[in-house]
This record gives sequence, C-alpha cells and structure tokens, in this order.
Amino acid sequence: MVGITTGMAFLTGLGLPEILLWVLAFAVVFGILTKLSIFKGRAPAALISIAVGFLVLLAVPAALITVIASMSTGMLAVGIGFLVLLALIEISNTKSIIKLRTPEGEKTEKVHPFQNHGTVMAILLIAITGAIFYLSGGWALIGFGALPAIGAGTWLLVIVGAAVLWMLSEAK
Amino acid sequence: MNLRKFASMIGFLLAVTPAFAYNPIEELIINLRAIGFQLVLLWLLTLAVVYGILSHLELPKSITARGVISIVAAFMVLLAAAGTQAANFISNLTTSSVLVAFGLIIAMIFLEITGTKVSGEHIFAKHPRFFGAAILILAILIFIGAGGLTLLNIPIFVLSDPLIAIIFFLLIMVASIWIMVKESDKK
Repeated sequence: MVGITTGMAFLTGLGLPEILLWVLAFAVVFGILTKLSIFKGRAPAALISIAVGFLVLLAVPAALITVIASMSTGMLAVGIGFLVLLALIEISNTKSIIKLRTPEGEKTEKVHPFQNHGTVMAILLIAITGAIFYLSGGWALIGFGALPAIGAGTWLLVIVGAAVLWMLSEAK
Repeated sequence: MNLRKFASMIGFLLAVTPAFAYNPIEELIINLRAIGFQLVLLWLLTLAVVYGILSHLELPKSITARGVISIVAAFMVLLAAAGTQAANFISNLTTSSVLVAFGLIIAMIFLEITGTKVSGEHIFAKHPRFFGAAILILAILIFIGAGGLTLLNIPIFVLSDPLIAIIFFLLIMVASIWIMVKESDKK
C-alpha cells in the first residue's frame, strides 16, 4: 500500500495528471471528429485534436484535473452502487410484468424493472450525472460561478404564478 | 529476492521523489504559456479547420491553393487585433467543451450499465428534439461562459434576482393570456 502510494506521488510529481489530461482531451475531440466525419481523411482531425489537447493543458490544468478526477470518482461510486443494485435485482429475480398486444390477443411478459420504467430511469441517471458535474465544480469551471441566488420574493412569485396557472387549467 | 527488489524500488522512489517535487510538466506548461504558445496553437487550429473544410468541399481544385489559403487565413487570425483574446477564448471554450463531453460520456456509461431503454430505443434516440435543444442551450451557455460575448463586443448582462422575477412574471403573464385566449377560441 505504501509502495503504491509512493509510486503515485512520484508519478504525480512527474506530471502524469497533465499528460492524462492531454490524452483525454485528444481522445475525446478525435473521437467526436472521427465519428462526425466532418473532414476528409484523419489528418485535420488529428491536428485539431492535438491543438485542442495543448489548449486545454494551457488553460486551467490544475482546476480541470481536480474536476475530472472528482467526476471520475463520483462515476465510480455511483457505477458500483448501480452494479450492486443490479446484482440484488438479479439475485431476487425481480421482474416487471408488462402487457403486450399481439395479433393473437393480449400477452404478459416479464421484463427487467429498468426496461419497464426506462424514461424515469433515464431522467434519474441524467439528473445524477448533472449533480456529479455540479458538485465536482464543473459548472463553475465552464464559466458559471454558481446558480443565480433566488430570493424569497421570487419564490413567492413562482408559487403564486404556479397557483394561477393551475387554477386556469382547472377552469378549462 | 522479490522482497528485496520491491524494497529497493520503494527506496529509490522515496529517494527520487523530492528531486521531482517541482513537476517538470507543470514547469513546461508555465514556460509555454509565457512564450505565447497559445498563439501558435491558434494558428495551427485555424490552419487545420480551414484546410479541412476546403478539402471537404474540394473548393479550389489545386491542393497548393488550399494550403496557401489556409496559411493566409491562419496568419490573418493571428494578426487580428483580438488575436490573444481569441486564443484565450478558444482555450476556455475547448476546456469547457471537453468537460461537458466528459459529463455526457458519464451519463452514457450510466445508461449503458443499467441497460436503460425506452421502448427498446436509447433515450437520446427516442427524444432527439429535446436533447438537441438541451445541448444547444448548453453550447450557448459554454460560449457565454468562455467569454464569447466579450469577444463579439456584446454587453454582458447579469441574471440578478429582480431580473429573474421579472422574466418569470412575464412568462406567467404570457402563459395565462395564452390559456385564456385558447379558452375563448373554443367557445
């Protein structure tokens, strides 16, 4: 354990996080450009990716490394949590029953609970990702210090507005 | 024997770590920033983008002409009055974009781990308009956050509490009038 910790400190001292940041920026940009096929051939995409890699490195490397490291840790924690949840669901053999309409009539089928409530799960997962992004300091790093502070007066207005809209829609 | 090798490796690492305490890569980045390497990258980026687009369109048939146009365009951007400002803006923009792309990759990983599908389709494929609009809003926010408005000489406005209240009030007014007009049309 001490050996690994010392080794990691040594690699950090050498500047491994900066190298990893360059590689990550290069890989993300090159991957996106190759997928989109904007340019003919790979040379312009590679050149742009190299330039972007260095531009990212020259911007705010320390802050960006901290945010990406924090996001990766968050992803790992949540990912393990979901794996445990999936394992428990599989062990308990929990299934959702859905009704399917076929030419022969209605049929029931057992599916995975996440498949039955796909939209809810997707919203939840995207919200979790957003929370990880915000809490890791990503929101601040992309140029927004914090969400605008909303005072009590505005909240009151929001509630009154929501009530008015609700009443109007009820009257319909 | 293995234990001895392991111990000597740890000893070496312990001995050598203070020597590398100044972080040579960080030092290199600071030096590159000091000599204005960002401008070189801006030149390189402009060259690659212009050359790539011209090659994609096959606009001048001659490859040499494409190359010359790209080099001239790259130097023009560099020689512009806001060259340094543009380099900083692109640096901020790329940093934010990479960060957001990393966030989206995390969301995709979560969706894949859990096998979440809506009617057998991926959520992004199921609601392309919604996610397209969300990504467009995100891109605009990134552009503003990176200082794009300053570069285009557009005055920046701050979303203060009273401003949010007014915007919300106007939205409620519009929604109420729309509901009432819709109601009277039905009658």
